[in-house]
Amino acid sequence: VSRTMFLVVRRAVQDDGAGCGDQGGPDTGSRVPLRLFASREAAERRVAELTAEARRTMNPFHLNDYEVPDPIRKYLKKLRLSACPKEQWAEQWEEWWDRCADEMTDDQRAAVWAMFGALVPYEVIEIEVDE
Amino acid sequence: MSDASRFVVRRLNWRPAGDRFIRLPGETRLTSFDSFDAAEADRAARESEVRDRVNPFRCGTAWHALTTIPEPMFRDWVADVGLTPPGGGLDPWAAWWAEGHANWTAEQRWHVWAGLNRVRFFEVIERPASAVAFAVVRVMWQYNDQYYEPGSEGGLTVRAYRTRDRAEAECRRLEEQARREWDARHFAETWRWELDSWPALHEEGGFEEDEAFDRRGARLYEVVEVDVGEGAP
Repeated sequence: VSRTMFLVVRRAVQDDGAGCGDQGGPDTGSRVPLRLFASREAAERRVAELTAEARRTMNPFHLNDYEVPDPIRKYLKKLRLSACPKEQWAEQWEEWWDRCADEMTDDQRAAVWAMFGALVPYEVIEIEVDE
Repeated sequence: MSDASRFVVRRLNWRPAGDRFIRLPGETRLTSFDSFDAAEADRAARESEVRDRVNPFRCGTAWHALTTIPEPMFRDWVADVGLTPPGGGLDPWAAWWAEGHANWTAEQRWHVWAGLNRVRFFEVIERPASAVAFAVVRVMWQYNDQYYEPGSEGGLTVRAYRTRDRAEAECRRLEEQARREWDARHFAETWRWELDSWPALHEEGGFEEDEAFDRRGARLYEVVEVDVGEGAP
């Protein structure tokens, strides 16, 4: 007997922290299975929890391995965060986050993460489960 | 199914990034036990094994990723057990560990690790015993113009089972079928994050089919133990 269930998965990432891609594109389709749910609603709630947890504990600049563009750097300046790097290099911003994350308020951390939109992509897929 | 608890050992998601490791979101479920003590013993053994191989000062890109103890206080922390701290900065600390730790006592090494309270590789969580399923995952091998590579982790989940035996049987069937269809003209890269050598800063390389699959344990399909959440039968 099988039934349809809802699997929360995390996008697979390469050893450098970027999503698993290849020469055909930025996403091979690889996902890491995490937890099964009977309903899509419950699975979506779990995705929201995981995303919130990831944003609390990880450095967003690890997943953002390109240069930090001007509009984002200007936005960060407005948040009055301490000692922001002047340059656009992602490596400098990674180090800056590690230095400063403990001193930021929850609102400031959330505001930085908000710039990164859909990063830390957890998602829900439907699969058949044999009982 | 029983409502009793199981104690699940999970691996935290540390990844190599250049000459360092960084922690990314997510955990990998490794095994589970009836009692917390058994799970904790397993976790401690895994943690100890990794600590024997990893330089803790290579885990994270800045001091705050390693510990909640500020660096000046950490210098006092290591001096408390008779060690002489190096100059400031992660690289001097990493060199200090690399050059000295083999000559320190087990207590001194343990004390340094204890102070680095954000560098932990495994954890134990409590879950309902019935809350487990087994996903059969197709590894997404890709050809990169030189050899095939499996990607660092994950794949395409094709189906899940409530018992490991049935999942393993289906995995074997799919693996045998895929091996018969495998393009053996090219080398296969075996580096994959879930393999036993975790964590290590690897050199990459290509291998013949038999070496990759039969000796190094690379797989075309895998069984991954997953949690089952609320509302499941």
